[in-house]
Amino acid sequence: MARAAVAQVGLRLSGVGGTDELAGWLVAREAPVGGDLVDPRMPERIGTRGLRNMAHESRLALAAAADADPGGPRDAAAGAWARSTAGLTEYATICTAAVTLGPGLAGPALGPASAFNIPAAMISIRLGLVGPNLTLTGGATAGLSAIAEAIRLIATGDATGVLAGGSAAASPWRAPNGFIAAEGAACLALAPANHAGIHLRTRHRGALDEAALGATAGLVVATPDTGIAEALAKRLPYPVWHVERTLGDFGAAGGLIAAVCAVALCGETTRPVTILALAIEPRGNAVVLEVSSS
Amino acid sequence: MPNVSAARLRDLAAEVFEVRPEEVTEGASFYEDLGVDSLQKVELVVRIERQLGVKLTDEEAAGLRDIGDTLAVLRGKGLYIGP
Amino acid sequence: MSGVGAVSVAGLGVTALWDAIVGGRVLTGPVTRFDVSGYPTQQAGEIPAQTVAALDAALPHHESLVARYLSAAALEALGQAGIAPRARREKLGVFVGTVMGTRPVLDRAIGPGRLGVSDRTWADPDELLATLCQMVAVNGPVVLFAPGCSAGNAAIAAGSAAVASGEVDVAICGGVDELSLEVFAFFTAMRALAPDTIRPFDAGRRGTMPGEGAGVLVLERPERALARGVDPLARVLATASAADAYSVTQPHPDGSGLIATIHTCLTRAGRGADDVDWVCAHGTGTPANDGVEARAVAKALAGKRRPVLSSVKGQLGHAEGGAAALEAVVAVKALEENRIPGNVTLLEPDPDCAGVDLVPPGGRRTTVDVVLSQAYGFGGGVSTVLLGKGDDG
Repeated sequence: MARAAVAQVGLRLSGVGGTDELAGWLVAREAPVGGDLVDPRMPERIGTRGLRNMAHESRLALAAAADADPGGPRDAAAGAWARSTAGLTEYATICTAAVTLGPGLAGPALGPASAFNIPAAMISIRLGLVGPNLTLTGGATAGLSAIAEAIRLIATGDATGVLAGGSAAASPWRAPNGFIAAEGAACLALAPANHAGIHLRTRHRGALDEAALGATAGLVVATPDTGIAEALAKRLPYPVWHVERTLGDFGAAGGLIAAVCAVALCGETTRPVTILALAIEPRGNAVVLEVSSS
Repeated sequence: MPNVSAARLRDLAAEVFEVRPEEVTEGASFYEDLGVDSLQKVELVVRIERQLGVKLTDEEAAGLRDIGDTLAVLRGKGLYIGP
Repeated sequence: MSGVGAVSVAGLGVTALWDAIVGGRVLTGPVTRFDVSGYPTQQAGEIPAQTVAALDAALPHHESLVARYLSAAALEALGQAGIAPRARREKLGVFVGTVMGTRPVLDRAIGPGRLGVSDRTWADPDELLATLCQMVAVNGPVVLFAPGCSAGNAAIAAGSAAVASGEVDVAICGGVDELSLEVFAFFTAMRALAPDTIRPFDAGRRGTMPGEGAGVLVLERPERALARGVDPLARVLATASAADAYSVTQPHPDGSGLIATIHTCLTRAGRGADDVDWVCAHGTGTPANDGVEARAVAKALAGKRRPVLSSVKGQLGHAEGGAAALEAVVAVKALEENRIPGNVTLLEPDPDCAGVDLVPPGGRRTTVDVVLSQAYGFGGGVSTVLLGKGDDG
């Protein structure tokens, strides 16, 4: 199975500065449950023009990606982004405008922003990434499948580096599921496996195979199903963290946030360690990512 | 017929284009001088239609090159536009 | 590739789609699903109400049409491949692309009064896969892509990579979208809608029209299909993706992303420009797109002959996330039948497109061994697939 290395991390999460702080919160089991508005804190090199009319989720995604972006050649750099909330508010706004204002008067600038892929597009355009540009959506597994696809793009030579990230924004149109609707973005810059540092490998995709949950020091699980998370915590002989209860619900980006938590925990210790990130959906679809330091 | 000033239209264009209002001069070309893209231009047309209750034809909308053109098209529709 | 399935404006099934394509039928027409009275143009590529009724008779109900379109096309494709939907001896994964997913449920929900639907299907993109996962036993990865209008080809690329790596035995790959009032309203405000007919590559083209539908392809290793007595319909010779990194709404003026994907596909498949018998174009019929696309294809496929190119969007409308997958299904039929669909609505070729050989409306009967099918869209993501005959290689 192909591997990739984590070159850099970019975070825009409520109440969390960097990966050290995130790991500290996780170890202490008192991570702040998200839900507050997150300031994009846009890096200076992005400039300012075009940001005012950009959707908040796109700004968060772009800022996290710009922080993670290691620079270097642009010709084969790619983006793989997971989200389920991007564009939802814009879609609803255009529907409302079409009903209330009449034909032709729904603001066209909102149109492209009403699709899932606008944050990934903004990252590609603003950072000049001309490699494959993927957006994944769906449930919590999308975030880990985005990483799986990113590892594949590097393994097949489609890309020399991938900014794999996820984002979520608050919207009154989201479906409540009992968790705090989190907003924020996180991005892992992935490099070929010969790069030093923390390595990622997709262990399993599909119906959950418990055999894929062995040989690890801990598990970070993203799932909207508290029952699944609690059953795993009870059954497994190592610590289990539940993303939605710890940091809030990120929708499709949940799996990506689980991976970022696993990367943060791996970075905590100096000795080699493996932490797993798992995303599992109510229909049973699961992805297991192995995160190891050496 | 609503009254509107050229200054207010410039402010509107500046907001849509994310430039300073003083950059939106009568001769400043949307595409070349202000770096506007086609989506921002059509956004301006829709905002004008919404606020002034006028309708621009596809040809009129496509023909707008700068704020001077825009004012001329609106005046051609019988709108009084102050300074 | 061992099976294909389609739900399109031509009705249920691949046969209905292919008959409409070679019959030269233009299937765009008045929108009836939602109220567009008062809109300056009122045409789209809408799946007829009787087709939706036929779907509902065969499938469990789902609030979202895309869930129904996708599962019907997938069941057809599995049937052709001879793979039982419920019994599972192989590892089977699902790779699907969409632009709007279940969001068009909001079209019905938002009106003058209270919300018109009882649940929040629109906010849960995963619901798109609900009916498929109910009808088909899926034990492998389930991945949903939403990279803009290249969605269908992105799904084919991911599915064929999963088959090649051995992650799955069988990949159900597809693309789907349903007609969206929001997209219609947005295209109206953009003034991008064709008033009467979509005329890709025509000097007088005025715009595009949204459409809808689902296309599905079943991918597996050829020897697996042959072992069941199923002859491969076609082969995925190569896939490639890139991004323009230029503008949200406009293709790069040089078509740089498209050119890069065509070169990569040819290199990976070990083919030359003259080996490509047909380019199944993106061809949306907008003034901005078609000239750029024709010039980019002419440049990327410069050889002894001008590249042979046509777009089926003049007949079907632009099915967005469904478009590339439906076009891949049409490409499979073109390979099978040795027949190239024409630019059915072409009246006067745009001189700007002189670098390509625009297929006349009647199409052509000729040997078709290799087809290139490309897709891109808002945001600048490009995804291209190169398809060959079933006995290729």
